[in-house]
Amino acid sequence: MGREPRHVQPPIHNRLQVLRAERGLSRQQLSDAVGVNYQTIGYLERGDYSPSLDLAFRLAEFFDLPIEAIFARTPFAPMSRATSTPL
Amino acid sequence: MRGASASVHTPATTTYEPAEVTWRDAVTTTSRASRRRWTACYALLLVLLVASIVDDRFAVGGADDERMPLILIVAVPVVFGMLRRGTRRLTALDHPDLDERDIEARDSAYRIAFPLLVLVMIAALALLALSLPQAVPGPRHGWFLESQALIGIGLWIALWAVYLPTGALAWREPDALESETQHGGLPEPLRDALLGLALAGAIALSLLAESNTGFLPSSPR
Repeated sequence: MGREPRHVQPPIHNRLQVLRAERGLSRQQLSDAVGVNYQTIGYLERGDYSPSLDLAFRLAEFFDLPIEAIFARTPFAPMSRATSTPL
Repeated sequence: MRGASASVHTPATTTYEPAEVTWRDAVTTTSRASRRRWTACYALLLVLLVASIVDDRFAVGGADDERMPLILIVAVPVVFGMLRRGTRRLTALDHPDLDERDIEARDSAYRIAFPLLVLVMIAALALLALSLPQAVPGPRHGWFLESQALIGIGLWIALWAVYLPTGALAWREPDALESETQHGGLPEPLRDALLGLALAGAIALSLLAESNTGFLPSSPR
C-alpha cells in the first residue's frame, strides 16, 4: 500500500468526458449503453482506470469513432486549440 | 454485462429522479480519506476485541460469561457495515453485477487480504499461548482446550477473514464520484467525528461498566 507497484502502467488518456458532454449524455446513460457501472465511467474520465480492450471497443462503437480518436497514450490537445488551427 | 446494446447512438430521454436519501446513505463513506479512517477504526476495534478476550482488564466484570463488552460487539458490525456500503459490497462473492473494473478491484483486494490474514493467524497462535495454561486433561489422553478464550480467538480470526478483503478495498479505492443528483447532509469529516465519538464513548462506558446489562434489569442466574 505504501510501496510503489513494481510495474507502473503508463496512463491512457481519453476524451470520454468531452464526447459525453457533446452528446448530452449522463454518466448513467453512457454506462447503461456500454454495460458498466456509472462509477466506472467516472473513473475512466478521471484517469483512475484504464479500460480493457473489450470496453474500449464498446465505447468506440457507441460513439461511432475509431478507438484512437477516444483513447491515446499522450494527452489530447484541448478542443479550442484543435478548432483554431487555420485550414 | 447489463444495460442496452453498445450500438445504441441516440441518448435516452428518460430523466433520473433523485433517490430518497436514507440514514444508511447518510452514513455511507464515499471519500477515500473517510474510508481509511474507518478501516483503521475497525482494525482497532478488533484489537480491542481480542484484548477483552485474553485479558480481564479489558473485559466487563471478569466472570467467564461476561468477558466481552457488548458494545464492542455492536460497534464491530456497525463499522463493518459502513465500510461495506462505502465499497458498494464489491467483495461479496455472489455479487450479481460487477463490471470489469469492479472485478479487478475485488480480485486485487483478495490478493492483498491473503498475506494479511496469514499475519493474523500468526498473531492468533501467539495469543493461543496465553490461553494454553487453561487447557484441561482429557478423560483418556491428551489435553483438551475448553477455554472460552479459544472460541473467542476463533471468532476473532473469522472476523478478520471476513473484514480484510473489504478493508483492503476500502483503503485502496479512489474517491467515489459525487452523485449526479447532489444531496445535502453533514460534511464527511464532521459526520465521521460524531460517529467516532459516539462509538468511542459507548465502548469506554461498556469497559467501565460492572455488567453488560447497563440500565436494563439483569436476568436472575
